[in-house]
Formats: sequence, structure tokens, C-alpha cells
Amino acid sequence: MARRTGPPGTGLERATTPKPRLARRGSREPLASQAWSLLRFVAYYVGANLDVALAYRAAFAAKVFSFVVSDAMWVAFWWLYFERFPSVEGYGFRQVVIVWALCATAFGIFGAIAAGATTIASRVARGELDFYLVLPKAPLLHLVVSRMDPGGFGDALFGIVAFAALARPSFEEAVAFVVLVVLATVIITAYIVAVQSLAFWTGRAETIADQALSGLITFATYPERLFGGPVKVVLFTLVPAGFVSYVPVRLVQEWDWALAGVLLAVAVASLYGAEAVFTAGLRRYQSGSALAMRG
Amino acid sequence: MSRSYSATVMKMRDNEAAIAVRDLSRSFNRLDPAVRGWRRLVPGWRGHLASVALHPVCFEVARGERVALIGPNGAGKSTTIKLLTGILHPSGGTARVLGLVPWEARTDLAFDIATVFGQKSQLWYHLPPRSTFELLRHVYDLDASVVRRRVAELTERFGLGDLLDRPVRTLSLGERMRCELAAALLHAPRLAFLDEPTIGLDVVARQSVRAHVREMNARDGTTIFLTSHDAADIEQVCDRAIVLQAGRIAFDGPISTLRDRFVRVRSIDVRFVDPVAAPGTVPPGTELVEMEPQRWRLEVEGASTAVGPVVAWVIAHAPVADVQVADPPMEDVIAAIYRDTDAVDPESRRGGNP
Amino acid sequence: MTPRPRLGNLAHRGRVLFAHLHVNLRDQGAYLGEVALGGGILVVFLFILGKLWEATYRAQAAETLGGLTWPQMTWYVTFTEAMVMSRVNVARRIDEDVRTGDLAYALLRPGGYLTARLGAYLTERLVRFGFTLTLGAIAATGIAGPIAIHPSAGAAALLVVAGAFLLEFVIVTGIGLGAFWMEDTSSIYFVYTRVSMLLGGLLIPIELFPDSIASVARVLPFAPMIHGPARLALADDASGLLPAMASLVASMSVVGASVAVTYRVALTRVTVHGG
Repeated sequence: MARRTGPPGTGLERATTPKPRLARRGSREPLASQAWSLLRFVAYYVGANLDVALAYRAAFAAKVFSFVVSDAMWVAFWWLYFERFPSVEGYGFRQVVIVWALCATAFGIFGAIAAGATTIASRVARGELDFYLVLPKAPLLHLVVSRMDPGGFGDALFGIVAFAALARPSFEEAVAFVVLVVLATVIITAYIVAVQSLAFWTGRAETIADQALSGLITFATYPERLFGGPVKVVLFTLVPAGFVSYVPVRLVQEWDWALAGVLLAVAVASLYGAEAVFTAGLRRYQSGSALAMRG
Repeated sequence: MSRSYSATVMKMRDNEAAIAVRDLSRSFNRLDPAVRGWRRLVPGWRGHLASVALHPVCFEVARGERVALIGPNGAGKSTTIKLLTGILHPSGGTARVLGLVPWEARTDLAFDIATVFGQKSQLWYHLPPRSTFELLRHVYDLDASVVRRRVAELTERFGLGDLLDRPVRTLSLGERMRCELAAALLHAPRLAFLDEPTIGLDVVARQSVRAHVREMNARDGTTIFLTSHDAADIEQVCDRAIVLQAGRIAFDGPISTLRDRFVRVRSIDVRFVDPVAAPGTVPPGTELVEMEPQRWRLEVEGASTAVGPVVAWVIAHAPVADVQVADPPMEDVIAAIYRDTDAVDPESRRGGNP
Repeated sequence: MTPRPRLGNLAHRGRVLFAHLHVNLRDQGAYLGEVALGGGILVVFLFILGKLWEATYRAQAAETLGGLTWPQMTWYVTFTEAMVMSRVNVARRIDEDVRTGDLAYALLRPGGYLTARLGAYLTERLVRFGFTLTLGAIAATGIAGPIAIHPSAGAAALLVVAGAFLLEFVIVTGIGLGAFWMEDTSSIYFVYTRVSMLLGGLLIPIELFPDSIASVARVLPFAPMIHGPARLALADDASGLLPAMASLVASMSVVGASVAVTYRVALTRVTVHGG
């Protein structure tokens, strides 16, 4: 289906790949090629974001450095603690290192690739969404990859180094670590997208989202067994530190296929759920009843 | 949507109007400012006021036309654009842009249109324009080789030279705008929405932008849909104007007749050979707006035919060195449109319509 | 210009400081929204740390650790958190003023540039501290129940807090002045906040540090700013006041002297910077 998309002679008559680009919703391109073009798009954006960050090399290095320091301080605190107290609730220094390595790496990758998610609420409030709506790329995806937090590289760097050097993992643990970091990053991204998308319904979304993210980070970096009862329920639902941190940490130390399957299911479900929330909000925005809408 | 439907649409598309709008309307719910305090929090009690951003409007834009959308702030211009680009869903009516219903096929439509906002750049600020082009290649799913050729063409056409490789923040506003236009054309859109493209630019840059937009239309056949407050933009780029006032179309026709609709006045500048005295009377429908010993300016109301007798009267009055008859400047026309709106609907601006 | 008598100059500066305080106080309304956000983080933090220490006491089967019972330990963390979360980033402000050249303009106004910054800092810090302390106290009461604070100890603690605010101002000013030499001072400030939290006994009192680290921590200026007032407030009497003040004064002299020198040198660079 060579469709004319441009004036003769520009070469754009067949600029599109032979795949039917005009396929309407409901007809699907082969999943593999969709995934491939998505990956290419994300990769491109990460590269461009990195170029921008590196354009100010000193500031970039400083940001990365400060994130490493921040993470290191926390691990240092735990080191101090475990010098005095051998263990707490079954956690020793090694366990805490695993927690920090996992969280830091997951949040780091999030910062490097998907930090645009943290801007959704503010962009909706300022009407900056329109920019993405007139482009043919899915607005949510585009929004999410549009920003990078250079500090994320510091987090990820710290996480990986701490895991390798301080936790001295076995081969199995290392493999598990990689897989679990990916799942954790997915859940983090989905969570932030969902909470930030509340901006389509309330003007307070930016504050709520900030609190939610801090809450997530804070709860994720402490031993799971400190919390019981109702708090634990919250930590597996409203503030999913359970899925971002506790379950992955358990799995790194002791792999369990059933539990891993559950985590995978949660990750996938959270992606779809987040997209659904955003899409519902977008529909609201487009019919103009979103509170935060401005001209 | 089945595939056969899309195939049919595609066949239809090549012969259709670029934009076809029928009874398109859009209203918003605003919070009633009279409702205060805790009642605001209760969904049922909030008290909504419907405010109409766009009353049902109809118009068509053929392929290759150059249309200006004119109107004061709050008239419904951005609402119209948002409806036509699929950002907003209408409250009523239908529209087809390039054969597609914008809010139903937003992504599909996006492949064929371009939007240029004078106030918001789509170029990455810290990177060279070439990086944005690379990004757009991915966004619009274009082949690398095609893009390379296209970029070369556009570079030559817009005289971009080495601008492509310098960070956008180092470019002047005029240079930036040229890159912006080139970026908008990368995917060879068939319809371009331009919103205040010359804002903030110096005189030379403005003329260059207008020339490029006209070229876009002449060479590529791109349909132009321009909104601007700048009179020269409208006059030099477009041949047709749609005037919006308070969400309604007040005028839709050639720019040449726009004047007559809103400012039915022509001015006559006369320079006399020798100083002359003030006239006792002036012909009916004429006003002497400026008078110096050797130079008069008269304003004549009514259709262009009214000018002849007045010129004759002036020449008969005293020896004349030079006579110039001018149309009212477009600024005056625009101002008259905006003022007219206030007279027609004083609420329109205070309504806070998007 | 006739040289003013030194005491008169001081009085003048005092008046200017007071004026700055007054003006800034009126601006604080805007800050409170931001501080409210920090409030949520504070409460969550105290909750988690309370749980951590509860588990610790249980694991150690101990009544007191480092001389504190668990409720006291929770309140210790509350006080240290209140101190830390009320921080004001003057470094960024000074850094900005240096880069934008506002510093040079401010020098034209009588009353001194630093006096102005101090005024702004103190008002904001005091308001924030009031908020974090109150909120923290409410949270701590909910977590561990109320505790008795001996009035003299409490008063002594507040004195030390005041001194700590001043000391921190001096340190952070020094960091901000780094803008004359460095491209980016924000990372230094950031490192400062983190190191001071760690070695100042934010989460775990210095008494419980391993000995080697504890001796280092006691020498650094962070201990009297964070650990000192918190510990003092929980003491039975004000006997700890003198050592705490001495520590503050010692730190202040060292840091103060260096920053004063830095400031003088920095001023000479103002024209070079083209400010």
C-alpha cells in the first residue's frame, strides 16, 4: 500500500515502511516489529537526553556524584548500625546492601529512561500535553521518555557497584538481580504514571505524586519485617514498596518460581493499569471536563 | 474499524477538501464563581456554568488554500485548532481533516499535518536542530535515507547551512524559526497549522518566514491554516480569512473583501502645490482628519466608488501636487474586528474561553 | 566618609538585621506550603525509624541503648529530624547572587550583604523549625507516647539550637561563596547535608557509633548541630549545656574564621567576575 504522503519527488511517497502505518486501532502490526520500533524510539530518546545532559559536563558529573554520595551515606549508616547491632528482624548488613542495590539500580534506570513520568502532572496542569497530542507517537510513551534525571546514572552506578562489591553475589543471585531490577523499574514507572495521571482529575496531583514517590522510596529502603498488619497491606497496594523492593529482595536471596511469577504478573498488570488510568484521564482532558484544563 | 473502511477512506481522501467542518461546536463547564466555600467540594453542588467556546460553525478549506483564522483572544481560535487537530472532542457537529475525523483518528492524522507554534518551539534547546530532525524521523516513522535527502533539500531551501549543527540556544530567533519551519516540513505534511509564527521576530525575519510559508504552499501544495494577530502575516500569506467573534464566524471570504466588511473607510492623502485655506464644507461621507497648510488627509466612508467624486472635488479645490488613495491598513481592520466583538458580545473576553 | 565608631556600626547592622527579619517574616506564608510537603515525609520517616528502633531494642532485649529508652530514642530522632528538615539552603541563594551579579549590587546597600542573608535565613529557619518540631512532636507522641522534658534541659537545648542555626549559616555561606571559584556548588552543599546527617547522629546517636568513628564525629562541627541539642533536650538537667556550647563555640571560631577570610578574598574577586 504505497500511499502518497508527500509531494512528488520528495521521496516521501513511500517514506513509510511497507507496514500499513494507517492501521486503525484494532488491527495490529506484528508485535515483534512494534516492540522493535518502540525500543528504537526509546533508545533514541535516551541518547538525545544524554547528549543534553552531557552538554553540561560538570553539572552532570556533579549530579551523578551527589546521588552516589547520598546512597553511600545510607549504606554507611547501616554499616554503623550493624557494627553495633548484629542483626534486626533477620536483616544483616548484606541484606541491607541488597535492598539498597536493588532500589538504587531500579530507581536509577527509571531516572535514566522514564523520568518524564514525574512531569505528567505539571504538564497536564500547564496544558503542555497538547504538544504531544499533535504528534503521531503515543503521548504517554513520549511523555515518559522525554526527560532524563542524570542523577539516575549515579543511583544505578552505585547500586551495581555496591551489589558486586559489598554483597558479593553468586552467579544465580546476579542473574536474579538483573531480572528483578527490570521488573522493579517497570512497577516504579507504572506507579508514578498512575499517580501523576491523577492530575486529570484533581489540581492537587503534583503534591500527592511527590508524597507518593517519597513514600515509595522511603519505605522501599527499609527491612520488610519492620512493618506489620495494615501498614503491610498499604505497602502492597497504595505504596507498592512490597513489589518494588521486598519481594525482589526475597527473590534475590532465595529464588522461588511461583513468587517470581506473581511479581511478573504484577509488573505486567501495573503497566496496563497505568496506561488505562492515563488514557481515561486523557479522554477526560479531551472532552474538556478535566479540572486542570486551561486554554 | 475494519481494514476495508480505511481503504475506502484513503481513496476518498485525495479528492476531498482539506478541512470540512459542519456544525462544529464546543462548550465548557466552568465553575460558577458565585458558589463559594465548602459547597465547591460536593460534586453535585458545585454549580456549573456552561460557557460556549464555539457555537456551531461550518466552513470548508480546499486543498492548497491559505486561510487566516482571525479573532481576538477568547474568540475560539485555539478551540478550533484543538478540535481540528484532534486534541479536543467537540460538544456537537462533525469535522473532517484530510478525510479523517480528527478526534477519532488523531494519531493517523498526525502523520499528515504539521503544527508550528511561534511561542513554543519543538526544537530541543540544548542540541543542534539536526538532533530534532533525527527525533522527528522516529516520531514520523521515516526511512533514514529519505530523511537524509529531505534534510538536504530543506537545508538548501531554507538556507540553513551550518545552522543545523549548532545548538539551538546559540541561534538567533530568526534562524531558530527557519529551522522550526524546516522541521515542520520534514515529513511533508499536507496541512500546516501555524500559530503566531512571526511573534517576536524582527522585520527581516518576519518577511523571510512569510516568504517560506508562501513557498510551502506554492511548491508543495501544503494547505495553510494560520492564526495570527499580526496584520502583515495575514495580508501577505493568506488569501482567505475566517473571522471568529465570540465563538461564531463573523466573516468567511477573501481578504480583499475583509476590509469592506469591517472598515468601510478609505483614506485620501493630498499634497497641494501651494498652501490652501480650510474648506468650507466637505463632500458628504467625507471627513477631514488631518489638515496642514499644504497637506490634507481625508477619510471617505462607503464603498470604493465613493472615492472618485471626492478626488474630483479636491482637485477642483486647488492645484494638487500629489494624491494617494489608500485602503485602511490591515491593523485598523483587525482592530475594528476586535472592537466589534466587544460590541457584539462583551462577555466573550471575560468568559475565559480557552 | 567619616569612619563610624565600631559600636555604632554594630548597632546599625543590628537594626538592619531586625528589619530584614521583619520583612521576611511576612513572606513566610509562601514557604509553608512547601514545608507541608516535607511534613508528610517527616511523619513517614519517624514512623519507620520508630519501628526500626523498636525492633532493635527487642533484638537486643535491652531497656536502654546509649543511655536512652525506646521512647526517648524515638524522640531523639524526632529532634534530630526536626533540626535537619528545617534546613535552609542559603548556599544556593548566595551562589545565585554571585553568578547573577546581584551580590555586587547588594554590596552597594548599607547594612551588609551577609546581614541580609542572615535575616532571611533566620526567619525561614525559625518558621520551618517551629513547624517540623511541632509536627514531629505530634508524630512522636503517637508513635512512642509523650515524654517528660526537664525545663532546664529543654531551655538549654533551645539555646544550643540557636547557636547551631548560626553555625550552620556560617558553614553554608562558606559553601555558597565557593561560587566565586567553582562552577557548581550545589554538589558540595549536597555532600555537606549528607555527611553532616551521618556523622552528626541524625538516625543513630553518636554514643552508639563504633569508637573510632565516634571520636571523629565528636570533633566535627556536625555533632553540636544535630546530636547535641537532641541529646540535651532528653537529659535530666542542663549540665550538658556547657560542653555543648563550648563545642559550638570551638567549631564556630574555626569555621567562622575561614569563612570570614573567604568572604574577604571573595569580595576582591567581585570586580574580576564582572558582576
